[in-house]
Amino acid sequence: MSALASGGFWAFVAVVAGVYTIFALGLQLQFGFAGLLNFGQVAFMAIGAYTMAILVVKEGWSTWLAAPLGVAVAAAAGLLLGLPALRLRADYFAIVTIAFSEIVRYVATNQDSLTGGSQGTIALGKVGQAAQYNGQWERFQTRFQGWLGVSSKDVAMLVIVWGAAIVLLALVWLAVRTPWGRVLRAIREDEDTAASLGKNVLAYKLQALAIGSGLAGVAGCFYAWQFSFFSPDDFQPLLTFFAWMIVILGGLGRVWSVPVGAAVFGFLFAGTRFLDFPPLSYLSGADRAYVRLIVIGLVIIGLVLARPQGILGKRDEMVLE
Amino acid sequence: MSARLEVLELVRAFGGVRAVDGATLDVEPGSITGLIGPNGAGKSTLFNCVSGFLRPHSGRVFLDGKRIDRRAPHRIARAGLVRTFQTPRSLTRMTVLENVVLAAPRHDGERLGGALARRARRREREARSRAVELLELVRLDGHADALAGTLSGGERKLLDLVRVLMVEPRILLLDEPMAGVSPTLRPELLEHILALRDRDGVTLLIVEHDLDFVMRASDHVIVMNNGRVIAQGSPDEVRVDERVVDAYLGAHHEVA
Repeated sequence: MSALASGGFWAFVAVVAGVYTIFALGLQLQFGFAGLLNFGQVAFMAIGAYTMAILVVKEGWSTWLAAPLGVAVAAAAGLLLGLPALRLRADYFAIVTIAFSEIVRYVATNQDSLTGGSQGTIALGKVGQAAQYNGQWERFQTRFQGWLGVSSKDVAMLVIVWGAAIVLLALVWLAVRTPWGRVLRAIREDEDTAASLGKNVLAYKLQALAIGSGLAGVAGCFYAWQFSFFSPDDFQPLLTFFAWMIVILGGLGRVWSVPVGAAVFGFLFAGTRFLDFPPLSYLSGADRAYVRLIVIGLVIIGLVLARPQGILGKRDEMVLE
Repeated sequence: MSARLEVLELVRAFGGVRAVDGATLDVEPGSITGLIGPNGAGKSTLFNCVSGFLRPHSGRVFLDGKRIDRRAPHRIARAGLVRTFQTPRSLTRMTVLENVVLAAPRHDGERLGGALARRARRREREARSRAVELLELVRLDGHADALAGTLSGGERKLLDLVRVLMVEPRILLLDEPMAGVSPTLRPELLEHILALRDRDGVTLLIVEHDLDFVMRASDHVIVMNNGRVIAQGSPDEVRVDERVVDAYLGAHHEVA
């Protein structure tokens, strides 16, 4: 139980919730505002993280150039996927995106020479040499920690990640309030109507998809820096569905519901680690890990039953057809 | 302002069914043209082909002499040919005012990053005041800030109509504008449609099953059956045309 009381642990939980916020914000823009059923969001996180790590280790790039390029490559991948796939109907588009995310993961697993394969980023460098992509980041983080005057590395990371999340949330919030955002919402409601009024539906969907993918790329970079190591296994489709849970829990079509959903989800996910009181403590640790997922599932079902519109959603919008 | 629409030998099939089977028609600029025919005659498919929502399998469509049958729907709308749908298509989770302002053409604020320009903010103000004017016209201004989903079916029909006017059309294709509108609102709707022709010089092509309305409003009536144009002329000519009566009542009807 000692971890429950430790500030470091909860700082870590908050960092992860911040990364999820940025990750799910992209999905909120795509689905909550433009109505795009993206089931492959994790692919763009992987592309962002891998692009950054590969450029740093293999090409010797500065982190400060490699990370923005990682984000740009993630956004470009969204465009590239959207150009053919957005011509499909919504449900077929969803299938293509989940397939795409698995393709990305399998390529990362099997293209050893590019990604380090299933061993992960540690094998990015020369054989027998443990590769590191985050030296420059660590130095920055230590300096920032000293400047803040805090003792925990995680607290410094918390401030960085949530600072970035709040800036990105604010930017998306401003964007969706413009006439541009109005067109996105119109497309979500009825794309034929939007087209009949002279709106270029495909162009708007591509923009939403690319921006959302770029946000996933940002989340990928932070994820990579937080954990100092990652492998293709970190980018399972499950992660995409975590983002879906966050967006639905928080409320669809709202920007500030994303951090709320992410905080609730992060708290549930981490908090259920401590279910070690009887009768649960009679189970072995491995069994308890599954019980934990069951508990998370039940709590989410309960929340959605009680508030189908999400924590910050509007019910009167929910009941309209 | 008024636009001419020409349709030449248009064909569109669904599987083995040729819903539109070589239809040729001409809509005079500044006219109200009624398009009638029994169910399944191909009227809605023709609308969908002309407005770009369906690609015709052969044939051509001209707007003021320019070919438009390969263009995407939004490009056809921007060229001045705008359509409504048979069932109301109000964007239910957006406000009534947003529904109308959305349709404003040439709005810089709709470009990503363009929204901050002063020009975009001026355009937004213009669009909003024009939208309020249009809503006043159909007495929906009292509902401007309500979600469109709270309106009745008839009110949504009116909302859809003023929304397409926002696009500044030169030719309007109305798909059953009277369907679902209460009888008390119909005379008013008819007046609005006549005013579009007389005041704004908009060309109108109207599919409608309310024959009384079609005969009263139209300058010209086109009759379709089995995907083809079987008759056309003034309302009086069409009314007594043997082929039209056959199409509606069946070819072997007995004349009492």
